[in-house]
Amino acid sequence: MEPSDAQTLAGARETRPTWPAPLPASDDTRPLYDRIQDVIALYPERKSAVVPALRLAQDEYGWLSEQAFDAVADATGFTPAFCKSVASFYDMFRLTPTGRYEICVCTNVSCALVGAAGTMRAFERELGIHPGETSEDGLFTLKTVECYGGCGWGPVVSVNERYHEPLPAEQVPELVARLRADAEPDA
Amino acid sequence: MATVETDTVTLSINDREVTVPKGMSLVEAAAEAGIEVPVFCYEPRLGAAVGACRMCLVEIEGIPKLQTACTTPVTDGMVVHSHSDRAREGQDAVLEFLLINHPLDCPICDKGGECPLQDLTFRYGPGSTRMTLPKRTHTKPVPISPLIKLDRERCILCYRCTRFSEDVSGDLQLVTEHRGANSIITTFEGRPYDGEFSGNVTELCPVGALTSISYRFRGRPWEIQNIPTVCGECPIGCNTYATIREGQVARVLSRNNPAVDDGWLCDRGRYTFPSLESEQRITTPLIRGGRGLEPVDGSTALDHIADRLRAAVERFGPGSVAIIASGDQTSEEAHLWARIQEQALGGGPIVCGPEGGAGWGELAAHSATIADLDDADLIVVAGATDLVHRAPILELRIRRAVDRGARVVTIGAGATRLDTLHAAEHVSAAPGTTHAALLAASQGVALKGLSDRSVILWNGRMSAPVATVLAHVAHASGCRVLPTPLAANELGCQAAGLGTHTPAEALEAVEQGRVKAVVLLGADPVGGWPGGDRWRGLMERAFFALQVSPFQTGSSGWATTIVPSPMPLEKEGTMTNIEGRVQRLRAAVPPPPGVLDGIVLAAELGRRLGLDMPDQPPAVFADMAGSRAAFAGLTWAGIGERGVRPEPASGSGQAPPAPHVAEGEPEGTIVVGYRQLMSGPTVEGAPALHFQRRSGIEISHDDAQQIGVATGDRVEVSFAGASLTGAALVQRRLRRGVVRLATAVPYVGPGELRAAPEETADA
Ligand code: SF4
Ligand code: FES
Ligand code: FES
Repeated sequence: MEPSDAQTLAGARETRPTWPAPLPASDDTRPLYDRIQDVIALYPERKSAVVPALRLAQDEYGWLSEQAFDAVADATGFTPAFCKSVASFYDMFRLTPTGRYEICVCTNVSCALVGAAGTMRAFERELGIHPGETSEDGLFTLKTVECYGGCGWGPVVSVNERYHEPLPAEQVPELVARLRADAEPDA
Repeated sequence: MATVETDTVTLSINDREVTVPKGMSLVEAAAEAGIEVPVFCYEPRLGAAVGACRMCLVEIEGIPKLQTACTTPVTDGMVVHSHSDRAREGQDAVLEFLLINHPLDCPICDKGGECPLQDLTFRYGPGSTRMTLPKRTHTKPVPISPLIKLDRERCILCYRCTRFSEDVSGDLQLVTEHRGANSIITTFEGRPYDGEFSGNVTELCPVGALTSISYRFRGRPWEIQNIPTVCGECPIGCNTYATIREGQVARVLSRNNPAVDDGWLCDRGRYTFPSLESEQRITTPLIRGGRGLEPVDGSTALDHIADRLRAAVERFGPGSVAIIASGDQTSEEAHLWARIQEQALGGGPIVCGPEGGAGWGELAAHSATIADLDDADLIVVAGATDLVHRAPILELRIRRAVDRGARVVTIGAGATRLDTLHAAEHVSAAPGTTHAALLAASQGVALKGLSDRSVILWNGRMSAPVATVLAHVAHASGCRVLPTPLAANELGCQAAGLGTHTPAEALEAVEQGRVKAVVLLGADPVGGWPGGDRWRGLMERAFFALQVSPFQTGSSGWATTIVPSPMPLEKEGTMTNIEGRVQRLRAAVPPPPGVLDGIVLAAELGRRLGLDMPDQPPAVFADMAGSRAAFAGLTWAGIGERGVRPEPASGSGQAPPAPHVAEGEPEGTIVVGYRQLMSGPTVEGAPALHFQRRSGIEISHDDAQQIGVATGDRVEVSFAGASLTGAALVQRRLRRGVVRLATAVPYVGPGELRAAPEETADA
């Protein structure tokens, strides 16, 4: 289903694909420590490298485990405590293991005004889980997030860091079905 | 920095006109005008204000919204109201918010009665709450280390504690996790807050959220007495209050002396007081008889000691008694013992501490104060280990100086905490040749800019060659030097005459047969000094071996007479700290029954040996000031709450002799064994501190690769005829060839490192 003008505050944006392609995997196979050193070299302040280093670690480990924080701390020269303090501030970092699909629903004001609550309810119904939970088959994790900066095209939802905007409640079953189907081969 | 304020501004606060220096914050300006603005997060010792708690809201004419006074700098003509209806409304609202989730469990809270939140709730806030919903709850209290518990329900998220951990101590272990209303103060994954300065957060916390476990439920503020004294655990001599309840020390708090400690304490100073009650303490005099050491009463012991010392001098001649002191004695005790040696025993050798005190005299004319670090443009820290082990609090001052723009150059083996400071430059030096590297650096580019605004901190053993280099560099550049003594009152003991020989000279006298009897004052040469075997030889053969010490030590087994002595919290007297400041120690509690006061002990002994000695601290001080040049002109009353630092004797102004240092670098592995901060009998007697001990054998990255080990693998180090196995700690920044570990006996010298074979014990 194509998003229609009526469903968005700012009008449809043809430039956005309805089903964005998944993020390409990095082909850098060097150890995490070395890749983090490259990132550190980009900034005048070592502290600035902590967020990008955490992203690399999250890609490496799937989520930010105790081990991941120790690795980032070792590579950046900060303490694991500091790294986790930074990571826990941001919704985009995963502090617990997540399902194969991490679905984040923006529930901030603009999205709330155009039906984010309905979208969220639709996901809860389809997946049988509440925000913060992971489905038993390990496929889905549902989360709420703060403003995604896509306020003109709410309700904004991301699936594994790719935006689906807007995603009204009616489209949720189709999306979920599609994700299930994609996952089928290895299920 | 002595900034000359060229500019002032005039403003009005609550219709009172004040003129203050430009750049001052409104909170400070109000204080100048005698007006209280309520604050929680504002604490100038933590660096720039952050405006986290919003308690300090004030009304400023011309600005529509209320402003936080702690983050607002004064401007000329500003008209401020801190007590207007609007300001009060803002302050009341903030307080009401802060209390929404606060448990209000003041009756059972350790902070009650000395709690800023309680005090401000008394003066501000609506006096009731409109909150009808249940309060947020947390698991509580949670230990964040064996020393500190955290009650998250009481926390008002002012971020004082995390700012301390990040900006002051730099250990970055106590942090905030999550965001906004979900924020919590925490350590990483339940790991303990393992930093030498952690206890300061219990004093910074303006509520009862962070409390010392040792003080929980021990007393109410109106049942206690705070005795102002000085910490006797290291040569900084941080000013403290000992809190007394029912005749016992219940806690130790800081007593801000900006010239010395800036109101911070290290955990050794704060948490070793339980050692007062340690089982290792000796509480009665003991004389070795047919059936081993047997308890006797004080005067029997004194008679016996006087008799034996007299006999030694009669049999073996004057000078046949050696005094080996630890350097932890008060200057008054030191003075009396030195008089006994000089006037009754014929002037035998006196050693003060395992490092022996050579060279200090040469440096007096160049000595820096602790506060000089604040104004320094360049701070050089020379030594092979972390500064925290010898002069803990100075690390915080150096960090602050660096934040304010000072350059810091470290010279040593690398991988110390100061090396990792953002601005630090590092000169690598093989342990044992640090002074040579310092000399070379001062003549090259590394220390370009060394001037009369620079300070060199010598973080290691003082010796004649080191002193020559320091004096030379100081004379050539005008910089000041701050060497770190090992024992708390090493400088005071020396100034009081207790310290005439180096350990090597004393051992020589022993081995030439000139010394036949020995008095150990607090020292444990057999168990904790280099050359332990030789010291044991002396004790074994001695005609008379007296140990005066608060604790049983490795030397006790060879003593023929043992007399217990009090600990610093039980003493009246003075100590001279690293910068030469003479400070007052006050007895917070009496020594345990059976333990004679240190001054009384020496005075009584002196009298038995025919000397006329005072036995009251002020009189001893006067006696000392009358006869020892370093104390000339000082009076007991003049020391006051903050201590006095007599101007050091100015030097001759002549160039000191040019130093000759050996060229070249040592080959092979060098082992650095250092006495760590969390060691010694007082730490032994405070088990809660043991988790902070550093274990592990630090090795460099290159060496680790060469012998094929990683962090955690077992390695074996051999040095000084013994070998030791432990877990490797691979340090990326440690100099190649250096192996560093905490040891009971300090050691710097050659050794060997290899991977330890797999454990096969049970095979
Ligand atoms: S624990 Fe205390 S110091 Fe730390 S944020 Fe909470 S109230 Fe402030
Ligand atoms: S409110 Fe949802 S993207 Fe901004
Ligand atoms: S004291 Fe000003 S905001 Fe906390």
